[in-house]
Amino acid sequence: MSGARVLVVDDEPQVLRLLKTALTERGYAVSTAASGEEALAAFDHRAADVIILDLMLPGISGLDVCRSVRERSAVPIIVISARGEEHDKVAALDLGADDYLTKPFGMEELLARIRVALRHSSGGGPTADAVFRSRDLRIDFERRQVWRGDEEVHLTPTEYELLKFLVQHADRALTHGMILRAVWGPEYGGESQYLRVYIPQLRRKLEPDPARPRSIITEPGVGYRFRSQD
Amino acid sequence: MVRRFANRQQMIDAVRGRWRRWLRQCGLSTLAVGMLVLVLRPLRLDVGLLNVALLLLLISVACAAAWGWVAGIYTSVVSNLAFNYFFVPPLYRFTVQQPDNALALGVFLVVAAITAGLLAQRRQSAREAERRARDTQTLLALSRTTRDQPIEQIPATICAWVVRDFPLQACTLYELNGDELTPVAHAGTGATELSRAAASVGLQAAASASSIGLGYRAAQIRRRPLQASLESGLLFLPIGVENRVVGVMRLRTTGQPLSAEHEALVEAFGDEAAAALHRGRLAQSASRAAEFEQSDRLKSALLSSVSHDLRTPLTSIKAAVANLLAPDVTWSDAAQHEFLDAIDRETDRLTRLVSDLLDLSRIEAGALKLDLDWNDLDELVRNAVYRAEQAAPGRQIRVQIDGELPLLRFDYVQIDRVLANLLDNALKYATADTPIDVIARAVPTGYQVSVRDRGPGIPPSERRRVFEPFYRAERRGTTGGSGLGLAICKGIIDAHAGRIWVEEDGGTAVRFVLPSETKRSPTRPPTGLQATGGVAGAASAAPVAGS
Repeated sequence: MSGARVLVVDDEPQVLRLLKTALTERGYAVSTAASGEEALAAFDHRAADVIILDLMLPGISGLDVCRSVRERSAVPIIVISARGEEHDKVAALDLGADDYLTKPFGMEELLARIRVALRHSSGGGPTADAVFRSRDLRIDFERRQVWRGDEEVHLTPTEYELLKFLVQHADRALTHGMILRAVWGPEYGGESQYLRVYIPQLRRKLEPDPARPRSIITEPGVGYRFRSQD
Repeated sequence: MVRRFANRQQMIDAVRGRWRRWLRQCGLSTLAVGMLVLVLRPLRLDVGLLNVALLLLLISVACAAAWGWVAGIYTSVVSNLAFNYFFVPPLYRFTVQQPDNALALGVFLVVAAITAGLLAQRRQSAREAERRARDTQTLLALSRTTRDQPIEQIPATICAWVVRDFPLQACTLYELNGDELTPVAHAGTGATELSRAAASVGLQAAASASSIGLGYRAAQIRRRPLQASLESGLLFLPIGVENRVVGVMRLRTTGQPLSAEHEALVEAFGDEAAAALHRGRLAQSASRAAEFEQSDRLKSALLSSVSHDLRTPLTSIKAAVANLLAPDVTWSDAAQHEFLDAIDRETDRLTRLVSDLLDLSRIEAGALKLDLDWNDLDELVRNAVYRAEQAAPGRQIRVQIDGELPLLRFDYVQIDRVLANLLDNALKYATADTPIDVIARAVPTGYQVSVRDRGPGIPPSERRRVFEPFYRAERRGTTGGSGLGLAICKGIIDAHAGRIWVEEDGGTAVRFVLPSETKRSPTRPPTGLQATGGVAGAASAAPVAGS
């Protein structure tokens, strides 16, 4: 996905310099912003294909930038936060950020997240295909059928809806609230214990080793992620 | 003794009672005099006038001694009249006007009055002494009881005693904090809450006692009941030590005022309560001082360790970078890779140390905010073990989960952290060929997770100290950890009201218990959506921005 435009927002000049060098080297067109104001101005001036956004910014906060960008565009946003700020992470994801990284992170990790984000934005959102495939899992959305290899898996309606939501947003971090509101309804956003019941059930039916899930991954303190490939 | 009465009816009753008593006494003494007259009258000439007079005087003195001065005076008047009428010639006539008769009457009266007065005084002081002995007994019993009690229970005991020993409906003790009265203990009827008016009267009492000194807790402070009709019968007694008001005692009377003796005794109880409050405050500030001292010690330990532990990785990084940047050397690819590898490793180490330091200072400052939610301990354990296996390939980690673990309320990220730290330690200290056991099971107090390794072990004397920050320095040499891991674990488990400890059990086991919360169990999820119909809309109807 070379040539994609990346906007990096961070108030640390060193980090900006490093990321710019590293990303430019890999073929991305990088622009940078050192504050929330600059980020919004830069975004207005020249649209980006993906935004890498540090949540801790002077002036307009990262969360506000996230909200503001989301109001005008569906561009993927990857937020960066320090450990111990799970609340900010969840807030950003709930505001429409697509993914998060915890400082300090490795370059490979960031590149992988950028690739996933770009793939999704070019894919045109959820329910792109009538059939979803990942590893030995196959889901036929039209017939509401789920197969593991050659074997059909019988899911309860709730399990099916949960799985459907996860795979439609595969490789993205989904907060508890997002999943609950989508599957159970808007008023169930706080009932995260439902997920503690249903996710293990899904894992038991879908994962070869439910204790070592490969697809349905727990994101500690945030939610879950369906990982479509290792 | 001046007695005060709450209302007119009580006063009338009291006066009536007194008159009735006097009437009975006078009747009895008249009877006694009459009988003596009947006996002596025929013998008048044989006995002699003087002896008759002495016998009658004896009756007067006896009556005065037995019943007090009213009966004494009355009896002396009656005896004198009887003497005059029946014995002194001319018989059967009162001859008071003669001087010797008047003198005799006078003598009778004076003797009766003196006797009655003396005896009444004796009786009064005997009663007084008895009451004092009783008061002393009560106070002694109180101080004995409170001596054996923990400080925080004393105010409650005092309130209970006040209600039990005095004609009061309720007793409430308030501590004075600035210009607020905080209820500390309560006994008897009613609530501890103060109405605005009552609070202001209580504060006023405290303020005037503060300004004029507790020694002068004058009657008007103590005895001024509230004017508001609803609150009448409330008394506010400022209490304090060393002339400093520390609180107010609110007494709800039964409608009758307290007697002076009771008031004095209640005041003594109040002093005892004030002493308890004062001691409580002292103990609190002492423990706060100890806390400060401890945090001070921690800070110096932190500083000395930090200066070493932070500098070491920085030194390595700086050296590697300086080598790479050196203009005069061209490094081989292998050498370059080695330097970069060192930088990578040391950066990780520095990262770990910095986050541990931040976490520990957050815990120590009490700023750790738990994100409590219903979580699956089973899933957490398996996840943590899975990650540890990924990080240490080839190591054997055995998981044993006894029975089904229910959903528990805890902070997933933090407990995950604890388990990761414990696994990390176990992997670090045990040799690579020994297995590590992770056991989760229900125990009576909650749910226990143990991580057991077969490493060198920890001597029993030090098992408590491993949870202190920087303990590692004295343990098994440097192993690359920050020495803060277990201290952080303890902080997190403590915040969950759990317990963490070390045990030898076929290896070194670090165990922690998360208390099971029985107050509220999570609601079960609804059984699910209908198989057809609304299903299709459910997922797509939920807009997920950015997808």
